[in-house]
Amino acid sequence: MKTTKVLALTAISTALSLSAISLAPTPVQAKEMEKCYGVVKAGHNDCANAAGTHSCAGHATTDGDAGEWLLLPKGTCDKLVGGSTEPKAKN
Amino acid sequence: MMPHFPVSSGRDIPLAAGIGLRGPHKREILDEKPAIAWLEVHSENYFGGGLPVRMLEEIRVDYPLSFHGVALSLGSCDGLSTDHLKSLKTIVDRFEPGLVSEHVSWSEVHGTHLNDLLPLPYTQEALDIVCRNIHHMQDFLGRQILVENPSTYLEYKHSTIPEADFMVEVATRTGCKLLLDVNNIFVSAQNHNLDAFDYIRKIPPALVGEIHLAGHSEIKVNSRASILIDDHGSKVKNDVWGLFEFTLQQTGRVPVLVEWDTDVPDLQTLLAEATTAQRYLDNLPARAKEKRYAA
Amino acid sequence: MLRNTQKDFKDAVLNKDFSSAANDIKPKRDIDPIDLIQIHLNNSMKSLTKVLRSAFPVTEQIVGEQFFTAAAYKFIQENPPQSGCLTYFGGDFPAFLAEFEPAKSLKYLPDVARLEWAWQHAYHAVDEKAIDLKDLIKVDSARQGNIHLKFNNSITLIYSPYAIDTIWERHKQGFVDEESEEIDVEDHAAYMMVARPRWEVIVRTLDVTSYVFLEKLKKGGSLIEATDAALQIEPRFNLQKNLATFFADGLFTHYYLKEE
Repeated sequence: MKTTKVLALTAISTALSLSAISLAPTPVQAKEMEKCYGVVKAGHNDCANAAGTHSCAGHATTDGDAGEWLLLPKGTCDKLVGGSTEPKAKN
Repeated sequence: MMPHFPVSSGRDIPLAAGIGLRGPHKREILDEKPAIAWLEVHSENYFGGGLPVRMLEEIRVDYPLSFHGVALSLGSCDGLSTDHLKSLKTIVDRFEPGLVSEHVSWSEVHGTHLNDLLPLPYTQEALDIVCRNIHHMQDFLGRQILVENPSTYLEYKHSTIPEADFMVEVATRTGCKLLLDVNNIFVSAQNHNLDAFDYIRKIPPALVGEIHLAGHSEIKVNSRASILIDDHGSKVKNDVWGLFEFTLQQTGRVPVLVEWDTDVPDLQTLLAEATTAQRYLDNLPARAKEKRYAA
Repeated sequence: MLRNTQKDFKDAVLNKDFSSAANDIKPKRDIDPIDLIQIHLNNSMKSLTKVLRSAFPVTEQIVGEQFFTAAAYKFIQENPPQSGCLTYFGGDFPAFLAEFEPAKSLKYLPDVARLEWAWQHAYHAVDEKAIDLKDLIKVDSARQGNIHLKFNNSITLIYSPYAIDTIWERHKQGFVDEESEEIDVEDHAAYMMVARPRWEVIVRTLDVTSYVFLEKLKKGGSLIEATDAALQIEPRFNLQKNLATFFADGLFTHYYLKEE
């Protein structure tokens, strides 16, 4: 067995010892749900409300048709600098 | 012999005016518990887990619930999605809604979901397909469903059956009930130069299990023509209230629902619409109120 | 035949090939059939774009509304939903963005989108009960190394060479506008976990050892393999603390033993 595996075994038996486990925090759920109710709207995607989407007619659809060659991202990306070179390698 | 399905396993929907439950109002309804006769939700929003389902559990304690599907695609020639039916059955079993409904329209073909309630050509072939799918849905859920008439902007050349007759035939053949969307009838009738009152007269009152109301808007297609769009984005129009009153005189008291999906207003505005609908129900002459039970 | 009518309609809505569908429509005075089909094209595209918009709000802020809409339309045309439950629609959007030519200069964008999708997935994931660290006491000490843990289905682990945690956090709170300080996207790599073991979606930046530990376990590695992998990166890796945290989060639904 490699030395690190020995270290790993030691770590495991320590971490799963009776005394270590009895010290581990128990999850507390109280209040969490109440807090979450407040953020229901953020990022929430109503699964299907097709019945209520009839908000457009005629030729109004062209907003998605801009030619790709005309497309330039125009949001907050000018505040995000770097990233134009190759990224740092993982580790 | 048609199988007999129980209409409901849970809390019955009262013969009163309710509202469609929408995201922006959930918190207020949970906190304030305003007086609302019943609530209808879009079934597909509860197919997952987490908060949406947990909140609905709480809401269910105080309000009778109806499940209104918007994506099963009863008009698909490929049959119904088993996954969709399973998800629906899971929540129907869990929440025991008073009513379960879907649309007479299609959204899916060859495994692609177009996310719109698309009109069907009214032909014998389409009738067979819709009935086969409704049978499948009722068998799978083990209960009766209601189906809603769509709002339509176009008609097909090869349609041979008037929509009202198509709806009646669907209900007669499958034993399902009709969810009569009075706004949709108005919108379609205007768009296709038809008589909305004639449509209502063709519907046997005993088949009607629920009525929907909503706002619509008029949109110019070009300089010469405009079309009514069922956008659920405003108050119920006066003409639609008129058609609603006429409908109630035929059907007697039935559950009525006000829907609002685009530019959703504050809860008070929506509840005021439900109160108006309730007034029409309350003003029904005693004879009309009883009609439902005699039928 | 109904199938043909529906196929014609699909071609019109997704590919703007109106010819066959228009032929099926009953003529109306003063209105071109294509204009009527166009209403439905709009319904489909706009409603599906709205679904993507609500799932990828930070991505939209970064590229702007017009760019996002154009990208969404192309995505929908090439990857229309296969199910009526739109909770599952958009999972392929990050991969689409990675190949979307006009977005190629924003190399961090697909990773931000992946993070947003992980949130969306977690929010709607099916509820599952968590096991407690105390449940592991039953395991014979000689076999503890062989413990395998099954993860709650809401969990996604995300590695990005870019500082997507900072990007996401700042946008989420609406802190990025004209006046904002710039964010150096190469400031650090991000090792992240998104999960919803109970009601709240947890979005957490992990240190690399905790990430490697979880990743190994999630891919089916045993406790000893995962611990070993973490220790090889950082000899001071604190297993006890990591287990306590992740169990308190409620990340695991089952454990099982598998001999090697």
